[in-house]
Amino acid sequence: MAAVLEVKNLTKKFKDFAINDISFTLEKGYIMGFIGPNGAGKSTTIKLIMNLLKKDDGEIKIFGLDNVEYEKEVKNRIGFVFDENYFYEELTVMEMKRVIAPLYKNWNDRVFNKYLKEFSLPAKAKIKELSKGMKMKFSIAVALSHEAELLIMDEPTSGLDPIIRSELLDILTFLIQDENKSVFFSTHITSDLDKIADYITFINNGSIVFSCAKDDILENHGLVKGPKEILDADLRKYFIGLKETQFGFEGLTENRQQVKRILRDRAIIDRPSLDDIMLYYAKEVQHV
Amino acid sequence: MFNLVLKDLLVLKKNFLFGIVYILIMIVAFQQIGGSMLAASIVVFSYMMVQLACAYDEKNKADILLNSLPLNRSTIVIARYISTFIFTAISIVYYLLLSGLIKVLHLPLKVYPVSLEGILGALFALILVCGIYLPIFFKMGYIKSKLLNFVLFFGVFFGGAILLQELITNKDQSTLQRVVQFLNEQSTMQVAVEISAVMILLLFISFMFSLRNYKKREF
Repeated sequence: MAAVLEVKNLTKKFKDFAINDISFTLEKGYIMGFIGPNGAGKSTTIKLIMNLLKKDDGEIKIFGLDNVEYEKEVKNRIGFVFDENYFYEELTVMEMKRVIAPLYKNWNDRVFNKYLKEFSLPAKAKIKELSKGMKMKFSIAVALSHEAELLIMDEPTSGLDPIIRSELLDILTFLIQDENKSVFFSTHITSDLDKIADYITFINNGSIVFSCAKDDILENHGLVKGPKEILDADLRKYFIGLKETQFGFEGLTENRQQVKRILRDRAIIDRPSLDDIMLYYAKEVQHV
Repeated sequence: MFNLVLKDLLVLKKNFLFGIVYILIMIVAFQQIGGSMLAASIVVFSYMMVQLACAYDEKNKADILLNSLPLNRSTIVIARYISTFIFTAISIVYYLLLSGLIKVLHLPLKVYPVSLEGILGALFALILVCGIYLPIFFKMGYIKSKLLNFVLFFGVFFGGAILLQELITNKDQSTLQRVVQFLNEQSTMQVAVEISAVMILLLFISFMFSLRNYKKREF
């Protein structure tokens, strides 16, 4: 299958933070959730993909093309939605569109107007007069009006109310029915991804913890709850992180079947949420 | 590229409405500087608009948006230089309108006609000021380049515009004897061609520095 986004051994060093040799691949027709705590390196990675930051080392290929060498060509085929508004606040919705539209080879006014109507966006309103949710919808309308094959979204749901978040997820679900479109979606609100993501890439402290199919992750990981006396040194090896109380423990394992075989019915093993997974991995790194 | 120039015009449209008032204020303020009035008005107005365009870019964090669109960084840089000259053209039109109006209404204000010397003097001063400012803006952004902006505005503008106007129109009174002697030996046309050549060279050097700086920028 064709890779839409391929990041290989990407490295970028700052004074007090670094993206360390990260790699992952997004294939055509899928939604990849890019999760991690605040400050883990999500936005930095997206800025590197967009060539807003210069990489120190590694390779970024979009549609099989180098993201710097073929920057203009690649960006013609990308739609982007960022966590805050980067449009000129002094311009109206229509004026901003007038500036942006001719820059894209495949801009489609009909589609844009359809989204304006669908999102109830006032064409003559200045962008600064729009609510945060409306600004985000305007970003989406722009991102979807030029036949983008890859949508790159950096925390698009942060600060939005649940209704608009749900609307956004519905749009993405609808969009992905077209097999030629792919979405790379960074968020720290993992519940957004439970419904829509096919793949999850988890970044923590500038390094990739895992990048796999969401179903495999949820299938292989287990949230184990049991009494303290069964928690011996051998069993501890199976846990990514543990919370211990006076009476019992709760821990995350990435080897659910094996732990199930060892413990049988001496403990309860639940399916973890992405939030549980992120929490335990992040804590584990902090302990080390 | 012209979309970006259009963007500057749209973002500044309110300021352009007030622009005619700015030029009137300048005509009133520059009553004592004689023939340099035109050059001074053009330079002040155009440089102010360049500053505002840069400030709006910074306020809206426009570098993130512009560099996420299918645009080369060179296009973004060229557009700002073109905008500068569009601002100059607008200021000349405003000056023409106002000076005509002042004459028709017999207002008690001195106005001087638009002349090739005046425009060349203005362009030279503007290219000098913007030629120094823009590479620094493209390297550091608006906020960090503010100090330089302050120095340039009061230093080069007052010095440069007047000095050059003097140099072109009142050749005998200039203190730069050797330059004047050189210029005196040539026709006005020759001087104009030479100054234009120097301007193009300055513009080219400034553009190359701006481009180099902007290509290295991270956002």
